Amino acid sequence: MQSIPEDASDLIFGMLRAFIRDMDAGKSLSEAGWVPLGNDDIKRLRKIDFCEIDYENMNGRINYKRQLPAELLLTEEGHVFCEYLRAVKIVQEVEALKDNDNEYLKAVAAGLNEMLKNARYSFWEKREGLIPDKLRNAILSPQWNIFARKIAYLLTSNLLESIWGISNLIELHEDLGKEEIVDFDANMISVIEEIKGNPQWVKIVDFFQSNKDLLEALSLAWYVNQRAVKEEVEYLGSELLIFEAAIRIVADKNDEDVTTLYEKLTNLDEELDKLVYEENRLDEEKWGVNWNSVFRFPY
Amino acid sequence: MSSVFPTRLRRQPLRAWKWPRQEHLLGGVYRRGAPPFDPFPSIQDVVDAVLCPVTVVHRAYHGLHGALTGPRGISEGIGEHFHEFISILKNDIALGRRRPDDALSLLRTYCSWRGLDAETEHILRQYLSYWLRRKRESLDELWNRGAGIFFEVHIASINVKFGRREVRYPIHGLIDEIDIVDKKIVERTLRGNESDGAPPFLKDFQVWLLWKVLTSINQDLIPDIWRNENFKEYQLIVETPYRDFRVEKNQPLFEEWAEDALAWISDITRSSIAVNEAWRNRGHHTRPCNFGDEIEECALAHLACYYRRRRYPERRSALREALRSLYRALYNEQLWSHDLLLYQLTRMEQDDDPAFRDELRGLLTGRNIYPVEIESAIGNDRFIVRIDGAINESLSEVVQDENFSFDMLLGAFSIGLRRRAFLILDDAEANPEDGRYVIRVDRINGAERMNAFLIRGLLLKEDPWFLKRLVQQALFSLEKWGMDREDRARNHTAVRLIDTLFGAGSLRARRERD
Repeated sequence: MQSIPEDASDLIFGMLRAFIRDMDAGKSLSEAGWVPLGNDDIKRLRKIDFCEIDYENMNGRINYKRQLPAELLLTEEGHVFCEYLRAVKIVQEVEALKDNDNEYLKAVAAGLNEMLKNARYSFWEKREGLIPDKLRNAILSPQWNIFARKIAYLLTSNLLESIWGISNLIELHEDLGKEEIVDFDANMISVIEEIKGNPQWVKIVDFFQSNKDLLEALSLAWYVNQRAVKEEVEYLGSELLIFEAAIRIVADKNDEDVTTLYEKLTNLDEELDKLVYEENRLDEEKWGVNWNSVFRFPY
Repeated sequence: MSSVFPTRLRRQPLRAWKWPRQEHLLGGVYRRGAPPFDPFPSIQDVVDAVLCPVTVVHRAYHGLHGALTGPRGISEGIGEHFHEFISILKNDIALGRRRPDDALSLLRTYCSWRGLDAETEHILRQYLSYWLRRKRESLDELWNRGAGIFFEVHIASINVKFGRREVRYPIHGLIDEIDIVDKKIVERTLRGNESDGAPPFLKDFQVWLLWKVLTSINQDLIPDIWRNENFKEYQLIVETPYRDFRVEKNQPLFEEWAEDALAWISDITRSSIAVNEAWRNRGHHTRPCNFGDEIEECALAHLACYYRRRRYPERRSALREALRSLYRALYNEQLWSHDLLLYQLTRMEQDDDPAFRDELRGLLTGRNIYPVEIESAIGNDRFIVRIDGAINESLSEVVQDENFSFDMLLGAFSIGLRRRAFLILDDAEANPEDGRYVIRVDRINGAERMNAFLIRGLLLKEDPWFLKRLVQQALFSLEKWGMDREDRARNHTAVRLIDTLFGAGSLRARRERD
């Protein structure tokens, strides 16, 4: 692997920064990072194997297909450059989902499960004592957080069946529920039945049946978030590139405009709030869950 | 270089601010999750959001604020010391306690009283020297004319409007100086240079916004001492040590900026989806912010946006993922505790419904605020105050918890002098059982007859809220923390712990047999 020649150091860092700036600005990988070169610059870059030169336009950039020298990777510019490349790889994976319904649904299911596992359940009741005892005991139990992560699988299954008509989650996604499913006890089943039987859960399911795109966007956001964590994508610009790709795919799949989907997502909290607190609250709604702390983005 | 995303686009102005409902204000709702109302922004929050919408993200999630803090490399708080010192100096001169010539010797006393080190004193002395060169004449005038300048005037309004739009916004802030003799509002700063021909970046906007908030307050709420003032006609001044800049009041662009900033504040609070858009629109309307070409004045650029990434711990992303929900939860708590209190205090005075105002006052009195009556001054900035017997017991309980210092507002919450008040329980004049206390509070300068109330804790830093912000900052520091050298990382307990807890890094702890 080549090291950085001293006389080209400024130019190389300039190209790295240009790449980051262009990616930050939303340019595509093929357009990002080009800087104008003089004849002397070209002479210098010819000796370097990790740069590419566009002789016709007298431009040059870092060749992202080549391995960068270790000393460059340790710099701030090198770090962010690599993060962007990892982010682009995830974006390509996500974009491939567009033409594969089954893989798309699998990703949605995985993301949905992840979102529900990370849900911050907070309960309300009209007056003290209205939350069913079994559920109350579970909420107040020191094991509640573990418990809540496990019931995510059951809620995921319920939503997948109600919204996408998928009755067997394991068939769709063999990895989901592998650990959780063996552990279900009667207590857990009865708690989940209480939540599913709550009139507000029915309202939530109805809401997402009419707004499937929103649930897909949230789920896919959680799915790509997991990928970003795994690939150590940290820089906000690179991370957002992945999220934007996910939202774009959901908009495409649902034949809608990205801007409209963004607007709907921005108002989601408010819509869920209305469902829970304001609109048409039924007499039998004596307790419920703060659903906007459950159906939310990873950030 | 062309960009797919142009410099910051104008945000869609809000159709309405999301106000807390009566049930929230009256404490009838269990506080949980994300509050169903927007924050009560400070002037500083709005200025930060004008500087860059990403500052709103850092404010909400990482507890960072004050992006335009002042000259780099100078210890934090030096601007506050400078301002406090100037207010003491002017106050003492106006009251005939000191002559303008005593300024430098007073600085020595101030630094000693504040326990400032020699370097800080040296820096303050340099700034003061510049300032004195220009202000000598006005200090002499002050000596001759007496009081008429008010420092640190707290203002809060729920009726701030911009342009011709009817949307109302809540904003609170602190005016450095109101001079009712020369009819001017002064925003003092250490930023800027001798050669500057314009006010430091966004300081003109800041003083203009303070004026907008001040002039949105109903005249009936203004304490007697200022009631006859026509603040709309006041001059707006940005004062640096080197020059005073007069700021125009007719500023259509500022009107747009303010609404844009408030839309960001509301949107980012309501939904994290706006974080993406904030990043795409980072920077100021006239100055983009890019990697390697950041806005120089922004203290958060290197601290929070483009910070140095360390190689270890390797599982930092997973660590960050775990911290994210904490950031948001901590922010929610701040909104429920601090911002809701600001709404309560402001609506207690500004709500249209007198019955609701009374209800709020009844709710807050003895719990968050303690109205006091200043009976007399007994010298050395000490005053005898009397507190109503009905709430004295509540104050006694607070005092038993060793809370001896309070924020004190003289006047009203909507507009009043904000001071730090210290209870002196062992003073011979005090009789707490009887509701008679001695407090020490400086620079009251002629406001003794105003209504006054003590606020539990600190108005801008009351305990739970302030600590939550510190926790956010600490978590963010942990998220950014790390090292590059592998040999050190391999033996560093914290690195190994993080990598062990958060996933399969190469430094993950292994069992002996591995």
